[in-house]
Amino acid sequence: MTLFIDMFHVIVKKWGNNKSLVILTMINITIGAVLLCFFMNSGFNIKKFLLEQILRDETLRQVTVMPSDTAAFLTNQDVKDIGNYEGYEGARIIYEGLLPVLLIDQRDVSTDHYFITVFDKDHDFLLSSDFSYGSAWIQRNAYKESKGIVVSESALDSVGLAASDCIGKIVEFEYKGSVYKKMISGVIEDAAEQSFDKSYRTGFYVSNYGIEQADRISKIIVQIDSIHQVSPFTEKLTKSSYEVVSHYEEVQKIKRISNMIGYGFMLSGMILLVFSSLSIINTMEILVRKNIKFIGMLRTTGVPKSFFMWMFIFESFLLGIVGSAVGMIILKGFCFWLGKFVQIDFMIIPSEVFFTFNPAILFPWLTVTPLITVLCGWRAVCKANRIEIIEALKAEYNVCS
Amino acid sequence: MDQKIRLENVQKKYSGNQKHSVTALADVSLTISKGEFTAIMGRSGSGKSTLMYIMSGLMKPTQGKVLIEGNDLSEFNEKQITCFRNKKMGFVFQSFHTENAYTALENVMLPLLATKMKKSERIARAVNVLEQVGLADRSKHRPSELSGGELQRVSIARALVNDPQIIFADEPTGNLDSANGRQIIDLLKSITQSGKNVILVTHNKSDAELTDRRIELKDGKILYDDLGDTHDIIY
Repeated sequence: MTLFIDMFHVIVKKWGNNKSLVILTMINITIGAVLLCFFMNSGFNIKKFLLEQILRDETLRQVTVMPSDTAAFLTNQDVKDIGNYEGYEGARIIYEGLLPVLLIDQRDVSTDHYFITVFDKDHDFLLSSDFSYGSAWIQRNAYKESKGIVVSESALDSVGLAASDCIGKIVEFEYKGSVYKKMISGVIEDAAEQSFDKSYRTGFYVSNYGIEQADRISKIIVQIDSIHQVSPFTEKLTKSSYEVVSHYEEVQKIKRISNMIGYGFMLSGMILLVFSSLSIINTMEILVRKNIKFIGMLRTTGVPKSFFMWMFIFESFLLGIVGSAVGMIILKGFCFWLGKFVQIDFMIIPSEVFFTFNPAILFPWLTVTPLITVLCGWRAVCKANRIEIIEALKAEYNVCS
Repeated sequence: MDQKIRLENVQKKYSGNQKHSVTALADVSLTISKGEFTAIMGRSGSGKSTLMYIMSGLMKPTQGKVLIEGNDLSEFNEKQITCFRNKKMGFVFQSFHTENAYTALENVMLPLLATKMKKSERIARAVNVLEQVGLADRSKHRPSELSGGELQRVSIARALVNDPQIIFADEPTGNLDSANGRQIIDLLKSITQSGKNVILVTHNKSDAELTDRRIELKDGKILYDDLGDTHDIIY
């Protein structure tokens, strides 16, 4: 710590001796930092703005799963598998298909009579029938496997019966977010209610099949919140039984373009940074040459080379940090005032995009600036280390030398 | 008496190429005892400054050995020799080498940079040596506010601040009038009272007259030595 205090003391004195040089360098660094940060800030903001604008279109963030080739519907297993992603990384599953329906298998224990009840989401009718055990089973499986609506003759009779015997009561219930309606006959009503309530009620029994969603899904759309998850999601959904369509490539293109815009701005900033760095290098070299006698005298009295090494690095770091910190403050003020008073759109980009201070630029500033300044100081360190003490003691400073 | 500095067959050649190499010192051997105030004399180009640089470890001899308090300087690496200079040697220059950005006190404290000494201790030491050279009341003044004699005293105080055993003074009176020059030589002489060595490099015979021992160089060889010991090669 004492070492750094000593260095700081020497540096301040040196700066005091070379005020105009240091001030001019500071101004140079400050302008460089303002422009660098402005370019980086604009780059970040334009990139963000474009992504926000383009990706406002939800379809770009959709991954669509469709049955492969000939199949009209996704298999239940596929639907189930994809359904498991609900909520994962903000994914929302949208089912598109003909008829999401519910099947309820029931058995009248008193008569050992089997029923299959089909609830239709989009229609108010209850499609139901009573079957003997065997026909109910066949009916149920036929329904599932044919991927279409199976309404047997008896079922149609049942509908007719239900309609004719309707007691005028429509019951609504919700299952997995969808509201189902049914017009019920007196007999079936109990069973239907039973299926969502208890497993047993007077005379009826909900069979082992219970309630099952017979997903007659022709398409599943996975709506993803983050554009960055489109690609991983697309890669997750790989199965031969279905096809996955996403705007992954378009998104990648958009991201590439926006990245290029960001990099373009950053590159412009970096070029300015190089000019600022050259000014630091130049100043440091002049400071070494102007202080050659001082360095020679100190080294004669036994101040080690390492002291000068650290001192010049520290000095360069201070020049860079102070200059760029001032630049950052100026930019913040500049953004604030211009953002307040200037309201002009540049092409499709509103001026606020340029003048909104983006804290994201603090990270490159905090990492790049010290690195650059240390590199700039290094040349001075090498110069100082090469100084021959005796030559230094005899030297007369000449700025042209 | 204790041997403080011993040079054994020291030779120094400045070589551009073999044809144009210049022999600055040729086979110089001498011994300087503790507490001796020694003048190294000679005309310009005689090798006196080279001899001082070699004795102080600022320059390496082409041949021969330099022993300070029994330590062979050629065995030290650069870091060790720097540290050794910091502890054992002080330097006074003709052109003072004081920094105008610093006060007299701060100038005196400069050799204490990069030491782990506390600031209060540094100040105490600097004040003490400024008192020794009679400049206690000028400690807050900057070099531009001091006379040539005072500047050289600051320079001597700076050389003394590390409490070194050997002070090398390279033409310390060169930029001073005779009265101030005399005061500086007297001051340097007083330093030797405490057992320290002062090596005075000068071409001024009247300054040399005030020292304990005079060594005169010519063309890199010892022309004359007061002690007249076996090292002398007299032409």
